[in-house]
Amino acid sequence: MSGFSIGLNALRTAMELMYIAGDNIANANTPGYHAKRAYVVPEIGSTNGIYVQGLGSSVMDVSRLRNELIERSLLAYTQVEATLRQESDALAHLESLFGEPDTNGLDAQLGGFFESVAALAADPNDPVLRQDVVQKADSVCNLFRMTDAELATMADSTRTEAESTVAEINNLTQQIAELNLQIQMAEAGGDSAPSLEDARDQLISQLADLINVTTHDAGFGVVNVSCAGTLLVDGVHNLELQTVVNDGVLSAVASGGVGQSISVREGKLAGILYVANELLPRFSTMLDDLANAFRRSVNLVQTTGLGASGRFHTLEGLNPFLSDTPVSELGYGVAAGTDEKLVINVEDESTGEITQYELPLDTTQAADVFLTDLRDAINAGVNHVSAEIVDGRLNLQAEDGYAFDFATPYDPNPAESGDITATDPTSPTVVDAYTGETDLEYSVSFLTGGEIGTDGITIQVSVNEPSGPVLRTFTRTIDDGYDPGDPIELENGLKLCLSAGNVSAGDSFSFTAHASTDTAGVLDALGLNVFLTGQGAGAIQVAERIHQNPLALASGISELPGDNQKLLELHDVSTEKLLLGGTATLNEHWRSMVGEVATEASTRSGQYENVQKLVTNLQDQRDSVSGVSTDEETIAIARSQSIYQGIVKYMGVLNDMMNMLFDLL
Amino acid sequence: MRVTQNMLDRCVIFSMEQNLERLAKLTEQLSTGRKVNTASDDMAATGRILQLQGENGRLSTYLDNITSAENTLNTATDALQQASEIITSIKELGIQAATGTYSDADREAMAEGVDGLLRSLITLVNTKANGAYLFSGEATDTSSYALTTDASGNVLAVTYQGAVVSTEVSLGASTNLEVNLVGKTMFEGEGDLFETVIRLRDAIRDNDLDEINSVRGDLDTCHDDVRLSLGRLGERLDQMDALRTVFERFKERNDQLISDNQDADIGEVTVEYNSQMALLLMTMKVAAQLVKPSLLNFT
Repeated sequence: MSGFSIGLNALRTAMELMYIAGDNIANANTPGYHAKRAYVVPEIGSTNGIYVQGLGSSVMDVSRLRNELIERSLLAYTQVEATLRQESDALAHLESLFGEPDTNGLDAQLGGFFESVAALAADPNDPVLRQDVVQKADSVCNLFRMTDAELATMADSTRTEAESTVAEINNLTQQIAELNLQIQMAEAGGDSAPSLEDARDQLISQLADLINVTTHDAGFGVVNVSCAGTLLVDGVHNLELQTVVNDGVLSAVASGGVGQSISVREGKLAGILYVANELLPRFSTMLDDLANAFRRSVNLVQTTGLGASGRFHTLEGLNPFLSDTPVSELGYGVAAGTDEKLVINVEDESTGEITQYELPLDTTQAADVFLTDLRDAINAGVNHVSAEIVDGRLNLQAEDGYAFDFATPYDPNPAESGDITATDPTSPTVVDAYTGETDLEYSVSFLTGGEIGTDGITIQVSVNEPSGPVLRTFTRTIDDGYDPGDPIELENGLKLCLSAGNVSAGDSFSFTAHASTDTAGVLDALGLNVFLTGQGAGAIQVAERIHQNPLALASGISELPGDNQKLLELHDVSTEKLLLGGTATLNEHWRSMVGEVATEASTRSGQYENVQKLVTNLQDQRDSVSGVSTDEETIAIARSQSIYQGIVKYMGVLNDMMNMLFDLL
Repeated sequence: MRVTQNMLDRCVIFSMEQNLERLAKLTEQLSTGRKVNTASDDMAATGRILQLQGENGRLSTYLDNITSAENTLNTATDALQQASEIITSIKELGIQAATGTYSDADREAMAEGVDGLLRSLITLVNTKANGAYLFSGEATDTSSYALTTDASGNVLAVTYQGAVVSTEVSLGASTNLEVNLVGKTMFEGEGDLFETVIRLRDAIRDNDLDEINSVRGDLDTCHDDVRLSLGRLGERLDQMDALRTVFERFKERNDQLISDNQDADIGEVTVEYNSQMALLLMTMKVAAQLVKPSLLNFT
């Protein structure tokens, strides 16, 4: 009866081949599907004394069309592609956030601010132009804050995306482990499970899109999946991951236990971590640097100037000095120095007399100690001005009839009572901007006496650094051609004016011209008479005092309405090399940021396109090997059908033969 | 090579994506008229555009400053020209008075004439432009000169009240220009104009011919000072005019360079757009007919 066995086996084989071809066609478009091929072998029967009889054929195994080299390459480049796609998207977003080149970008806004300053310098009394400067500063600050907020939003959404990506990774590794179990059970029972393997490999391929993985055969069809040496799928178990943030650094670690850190190098998660830990912090820091440089450079001019509203009767510090961090390390850009100084001018408003006080500062002191010492130094050493600390902030208050400032870098009325001994004495005054780069002491003595504007008088001027030897001496002579009050040129921009009156031979006076009245820039740090406040791009804003009263915007060093020296200085800030180690202006720094983003975006985009082409090529190669060809399957069906028809015929003939035999009985 | 349906599908999809991406870029260029819309479109061009835009911003400010300064200096020039004419009138009265043939009443009338002209002079030097005193230096809110008069209203003295330092405006990286003027320097330089006129008036009134002749010489000196100031103002205005020409040329050149770097060649982009669109249509046509003939068609 082996003939029927042959027929039965053949029918089974033909049907099996038909099913496989049908399955292949049905999955022609299924992602990750590999075409199946049946391994058909002859069935061996027993010997009939002449030969070992065959019993037809049977399907011994069903395997997948698969090229391991292509599969591994595809897995590797899928990870790279995912990394580059993530980074490229983030860089494109960052680039659009910076919004350049545009006539409303930060470059134009910064330029617009300095242009408004130059316009005000041409007409310092114009209230509209003054308001315009404040508004332009507002626009710059708004743009800084908006850009910073966008960066913060990007950082937040990046963290959220990291969490969801890790959840997706956990989900995938769990499914892979479960499929491993099913495959293991099937293979242990002696069956192959190509469809299960396809499903698992497709999940591994999806996993590779998220994180760098490599696969290792572990026997019985099981595949282990590891990420940079850490097993994410170990046989039928998976390792759960989670995201953590340590010191601002986002990373992926194994859940529970010791929280083993995972070295994420490729895949979407690597791109997310790059954006979160490198890209955004880098540009956020650069933006903060720019905002801080803008704030500080503007404030250094503002704090040592006088606005149209004149000297101050009261000033409130905006920034608290509460910590024990040294002043120079508070982040305000204050220089570290033990012999810094702050110059305060106090005006007696009834006489116009100005007294200048120089306070020594040690910016290496702890902030709270520094503040207390400064308050005590002002209360002890500066007449008619008192200082107090409120909530860690320094407040200054002048007595009635007095006002103070930090502007004039010299005593404009330098002669003290008794310096000019002649009857009906002249009153010397010093005017105009001091352009010297160091502090210099000017000792002025009259070698001959007489009446100013009538007699010939020789004036000798000795110049020395404070407490230093005489550097040079020069003389100026006036005669009856001198009109009292006319400026007499000294040096470094300084001019001496002598009012009508007399001097005696030997009369003398001296004054110190300061290169800076706030050598360390502590007024900016204290928030006294500042234009801008706030540290970093997220907090920078125009000080409320300036908002409410644009007249407080510093324009000069004197109360003269046409004095625009500080506005000219403020305009010069636009050309000062303040950043990148003294090589870039504010605008140049911004442009370098824009250029850096654009370069990276362009590079990543190019790399992504290249890898995308490579992945497409590898997918084609894989499809060339593993893809379903409907032609092949049609032929396979035809062949199965043909076999089936033949066997049915064979079995019919066999049946006829059997019936013939039975008819003999 | 074994070719499967998926390979063909992928090829077409990839080509269509690339075509659409390129078309999107061309559409952006056509709709904005710019070939550089983001920095990565052309990093070098972006750098140049930002720099040129910044430079043009500065040039606009300088040009505005020049316009403002020109207005001020033109007003000052008008005032000085009128002052010069008044001085000429005073000098003519001086010449007239120096002949000695007039009665006391005539001389008093001439003295009063000089006094009136002096007051006109003072009104002129206290000229304001845009709300600011022109000849007070930085003290733009203070009238340049103040009068001291006796009970009869005669001018006894004219005192300068302004500052001795003038306001400068920026007209370039290293070019600052004074926009208001120090009256003390202009009218009390080689000679004190107002004191001289007062002396002439008093000499006419006193019929002091020697003094009249002496003062006439001093008045010539003062007049020369005013003319000299006028000449200097003219030089400044010429200087500003030259700067305006240069800045306008720079600005125009920068505008051209910005346009060269940023603006799209619409004709070229349109041609490329049409070419790309044709390619896309062709790809779509191929995609529509993509289902390749199969043996299934023949079974």
